[in-house]
Parts: sequence; structure tokens; C-alpha cells
Amino acid sequence: MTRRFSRFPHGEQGAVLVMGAFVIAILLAVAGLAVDSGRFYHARLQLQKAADAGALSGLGATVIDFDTFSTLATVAERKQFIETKALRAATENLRVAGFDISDPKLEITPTYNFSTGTLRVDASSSQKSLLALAAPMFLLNTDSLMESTGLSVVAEVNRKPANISLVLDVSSSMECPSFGSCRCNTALRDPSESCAEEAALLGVNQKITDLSQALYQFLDLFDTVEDRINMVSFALIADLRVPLRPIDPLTGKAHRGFDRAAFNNFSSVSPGSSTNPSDGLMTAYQDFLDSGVANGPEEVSYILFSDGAPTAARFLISSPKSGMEANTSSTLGSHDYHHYSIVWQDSTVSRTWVGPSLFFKEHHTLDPKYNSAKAPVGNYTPSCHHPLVPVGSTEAPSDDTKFEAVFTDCINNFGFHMPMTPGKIYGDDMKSGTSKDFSNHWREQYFNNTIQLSDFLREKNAMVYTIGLGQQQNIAADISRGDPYQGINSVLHRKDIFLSRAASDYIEAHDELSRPYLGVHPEFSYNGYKSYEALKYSSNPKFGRYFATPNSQELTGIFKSIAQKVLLRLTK
Amino acid sequence: MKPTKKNFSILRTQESGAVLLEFTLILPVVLMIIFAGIEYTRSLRGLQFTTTISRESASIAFRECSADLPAKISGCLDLVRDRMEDFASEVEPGTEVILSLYENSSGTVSKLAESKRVDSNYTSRFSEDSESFTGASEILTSHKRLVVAETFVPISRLVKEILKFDFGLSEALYDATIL
Repeated sequence: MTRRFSRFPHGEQGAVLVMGAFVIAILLAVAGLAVDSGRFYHARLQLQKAADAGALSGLGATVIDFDTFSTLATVAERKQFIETKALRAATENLRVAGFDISDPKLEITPTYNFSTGTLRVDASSSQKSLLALAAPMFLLNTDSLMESTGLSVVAEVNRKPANISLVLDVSSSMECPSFGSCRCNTALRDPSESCAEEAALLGVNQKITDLSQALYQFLDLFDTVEDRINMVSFALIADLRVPLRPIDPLTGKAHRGFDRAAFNNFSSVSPGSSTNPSDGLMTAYQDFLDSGVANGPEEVSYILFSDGAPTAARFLISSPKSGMEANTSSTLGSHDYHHYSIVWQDSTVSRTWVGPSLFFKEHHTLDPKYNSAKAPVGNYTPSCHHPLVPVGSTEAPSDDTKFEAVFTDCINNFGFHMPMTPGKIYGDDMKSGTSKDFSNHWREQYFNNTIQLSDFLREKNAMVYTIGLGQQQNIAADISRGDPYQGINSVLHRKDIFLSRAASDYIEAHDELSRPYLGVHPEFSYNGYKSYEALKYSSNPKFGRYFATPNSQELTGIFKSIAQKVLLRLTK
Repeated sequence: MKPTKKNFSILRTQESGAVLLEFTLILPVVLMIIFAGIEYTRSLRGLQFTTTISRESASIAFRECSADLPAKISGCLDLVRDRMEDFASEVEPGTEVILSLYENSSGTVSKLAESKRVDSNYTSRFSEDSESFTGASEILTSHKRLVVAETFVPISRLVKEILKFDFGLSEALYDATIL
């Protein structure tokens, strides 16, 4: 007996096996818990994803399927529309994630609050976790208590108010019929036939009419109480037609909402003279800046509509007049000329000649330092004022005095670098009564300034969408990388290059290989413009869209698409 | 005594090697459990990563692309996929995202665009065929436009086996989000 007993203390073979059994048991238990809680948290992630998807899809459907949604007359119908879409999207996501959607314990409850515009999706399932069951013993908070009784998640989505700026071209070609070549706008026109008559003959609208109809349908998608919208039209210079509402002293920002009726007079606008999108965009930004909305956390969407690349009308110099304002109106009709008087301010002491400097209104509130660092090193005049000055005479100008001006590289009065094709003198044979075409000079400045400004706006939390109307320019693409001004005419005439770059439309840039005539090279970059590739990998790329159409009847669809994109971006 | 018996008696009395022997018996089991746990956690992390990528892709594509005109949709999906794949590949090399957009125009469902890499290893598990979407929830006919984002993350053979056991997955880590 003693011998048998004595074997226990001495015989330790099996000790490790026993210990090992314990260790394995504990390890298995821990691993089991890990698997269990892993499954639980994965299920919770899936449930959260489904709830989020439901909420986003439900509210998004009101935008994407606006045509159906807007026909629903009652609150109950609209509520049901949203909640049904949310429920179906959430359910589908759960099914794909492997949940048994016929399980009665799997509950998805979308609730749309009509007054706040918030869609809330509650989702819960019976999935339990041992670890979560034990959690309340240690952490007595409600979260873990809820987890212990199963899974429960919430997703909430609503739409932030929109800030929109409509920057619309009303240059002379907007009088033309919806599509095709336009006689009434050219020298070939029959003086007895107006553009309206030409359009009526073709059985279509004038472009401006199509645009205004598109505009009204666009406005229907927005909330007249919550969304801020302003409207700028531009031709030679910009005109703030519908400003934002006045500043609310409580918030320091413009009041929300817009007056739908204020946009109604748009169709009555009379198109005229050149295309200066630069001043249009600048005026639109200025209004948002003055209203305290730009540069803030709220995104502003600029919609730049143009029916062409920047253009400038020819100038006609009238007799110099003493001490008068420059006449910036277009008195020779809307088509070919811009009528300009040389202003002679003082005949005795010193003379200031005010010629057609840049046709931008003064915008001093912009930070003048902006972009100055981007200006290449060189000799630049401090401002871009290039007055017409009389040639070889210091006397008061007469009708026979000839004028000239020299464009040079410069930093304009809001700090953008304005590269000019150097050494070109314009106007050296100009005298009263003669006209001169400076289109390319203006074109270059409008082109460059608009793109610099659009990049500036994107840095200030804005999106830029552009719409180009009209025939594609049939010019062989000879875009040289780097400097778009090498082939100055071909590039500056191409609104597709201009507008897709202004919108920073990466898709358009990307399509160059398949559509060489329509696209822009992805590396298109000039003088501090960022290349598309550089933008692609920035944290917030702000890619806008460039929409092109030769037919203004398609504007309605394009404006609607932009409105939907703006609204979806704000659904969060 | 016979040498054999003597040898056995040595085994019984001299226990110096026994611990080692028993340890070598148990170690593989313990290690297996430990590594299985690690692999499981890794795979779970991969699965959650897959889910995150798919929900983000779907959400971005839904906001940025679903309201586009048809001509722009394909380019837009490509851009979102590019960005998401570039981002995801930094964490899980070889991650692929397939984005597709379906449109329901008065009852007829068509795939407007599908965005996947030219050299893609995977195919979308959805199609216009309503079988791939559930018939019960009628989502294909209910929504005007539907964005489907699928994410594939390549996995090791071991993880594959574990996941097959636990999540019924085989090919790759997979997650789809539908918006």
C-alpha cells in the first residue's frame, strides 16, 4: 500500500498533460469568446451598414426619383415613399450579408420626420454575444445592456441646405434657335428676320428660352425656405440679377431661402456682346463672400453656363470726351461691337487716359496675396490696367488722335497672375470712329482668370459645374502639354477645354484617349493650375462636371442632373 | 534483469524527459489554437475592412455618380473605383472594387455601367437578372437607380479554410453594399 501511495508524490509523469488540458480548455474558451464576439461585432457592422444604406437610399430616392416623388401630393404618401425605399434597401443589404431576412426578430424600422426632413432607420436582430451578455456586469451602461439583449443600431440622414450660384451666359449667340447654325446672329442675317422669327420658322425655341425653362425646373428641386441661390448673368461684364437674401444679424450670414419669383424675369433678358465668364464667376463669388457664406464650412456650388469659350467683341472708339464715364454699353446692337469712349479726365494739369482695361468690376475684398506666390518670377506690372493712350501727343485728344495700349504680363487687382502673349501692341492705328478686334487679348485673360478663379473657389470649399452649349469647335487637337497658349487660337477657342478645366472634370480629362477632340489631357496644367492627376489624389478632390450639348433643348436634363448631384452631396 | 525491463524501469523512474515529451505533445495543439485565434482575428479584421471599403465605395458612388447623365456614369464609377482601390491597396494589397449602376426605366432594368479593372480577377455577383437581387424585397423594380459596390480582398489559404467554416466564404473576402 505504502508503495502504491508513494508513487503519487514521485510519479509526475502526466503533470504536463493535466496542465496542458487546463491550458487548452482555457485557450479554447478564450478563443471561443473571441470567435463569438467577433461574429457579434461583424454582425453589428453589417447591421449598421444596412441601416445606413437604407437611410441614404431612402432620402436619395427623393432626389433620384424626383419625378415620381414630386407627384405625391400628401405628406403620408411621401413619408411612405421614403420609408419603403429605405426598408427595401436595408433589407437587401442584410440579405446579401447573409442574414435570414425572414427572421421575425430581424427588425428594420424607417421613420421619416417630415418637419425636420430627417430619415431615421432603426435596425435590430436577435444576435447575441456571450461577451456582450457578460458586459453589463462590468460596465453598466445602456449600450452594453442593449447589446446583451441583442443587436440594435440606428442610422440618421438628413439633407443639409444647399448654397448655389447660377452664373449664366447671356451673350449674343443665346438669341439663336436651340440648335444648328444660326443666321440671325451673323453678317448673313436678313435684317427683316429676327432670331425669334428664325427660331419660330424652325419650330424650336431660342436658346435663351430653353435656358430659362431649364432654370425654372432646376429651381423646383430646391427648397425656397432652406436653400440659398443667387443668379448672375454675364456678357461683357457680369450682372448680379438675383442676389442672396440680406444678412441675418443672428448668424452673420445671409438668410436662407430664395425668392422663386425673382428668377422669373430671366427670359426677358436681352443677350448681347461678349462672353466674360471670369467676371460672372467673380461676381457670384463676391455675393457669397459678402453674405458670409463663402470660405466657410458650407459647400457652395457654382454652375457656370456658357455657350462658348470666352470671347470679346470688337471695340469702337467714339470721340474722346472730357470727364465722362466710360461708356460700357453696347450701342451698336448686340452683335459685333463694343462701343467705348476714351475718358479724358483733366486737360490742364495731368492726363489720365482710361481705356478698356480689364472688364472686371473692382473686387478688392479678395485676398490680394492669393496666388501671388504662384506667379512666375519675372517683370510684371503690378496691376492689369492697360489704358489706351494717345500716340505721340500730350494734347487733348481730337477725333484724329491715334491710340495704343500694350498688354503685358501682370498681376491683376485681385491677385491673379494674368499671363499675356508678350509684346503685342494693340490699337496703334485706332482713332475715333474706327474699330479694332482685340478678341484674343481678352479671350486669353478671361480664359486664364476663370480657371484660376475656379481653382481658387475649390480651395474655398466650392464645387464648380460647367455647361457648354453649342457646336464643338472643329479644330484639330494640337494641345501641347504644359502651355495651352502655344497654339493660342486653337486652345482659346475651345470651350470644351476651357469649361472642363474650369469644372475640374476628371472624367472628361480621362476620356482623352478615346475622344481626342473632346477631352483634355490629364496633365493639363499651366502656371500654377493644378493638374488633374494632382487633384485626383488630394483628400477632397472637388471634381465638378462639364456637360456639353449642341442642343439647348437638352439643358433641362443637364440642369436637373446637376441639381440632383448637388442634393445628393448634401445628403448626410 | 533483462535489458529491456531495465530500460522500462528507467523510463518509469527517471522523469527528466517526460515533461519534454508531454510538452511536445501539447505544444502543437496549443500553438494551433493560438494561431487559429490570430488568423481568425486577422480574417475578421479583413472582413470588416472589406465591409468598410464596400460601404464607402457605395456611398461615394451613390452621391457622386448615381444622378449623372448616362454618358458620364461609367467615367464617374471608374474614378471612384480608382480612388477606393488605391486607398484600400495600401492596407490590403490586391483589393478590388467593382461598382455597377442599374437603372430601372419603367419596369425594365438595365445595367448602365460596370466599373472594374481590365485585369480583374473577379466578377460581379449581381446582374440585371432579378435572381441575383432578392425577389422578396423587390429592390430592383422599386428603386430608379441602384448602385452596387462589391469589394474583394485576396486571402491566404489558411484563412480561406477558416472563413469557409465560419462565414461560408471561399474565393476571397467579399462584401457588397447596395444603395
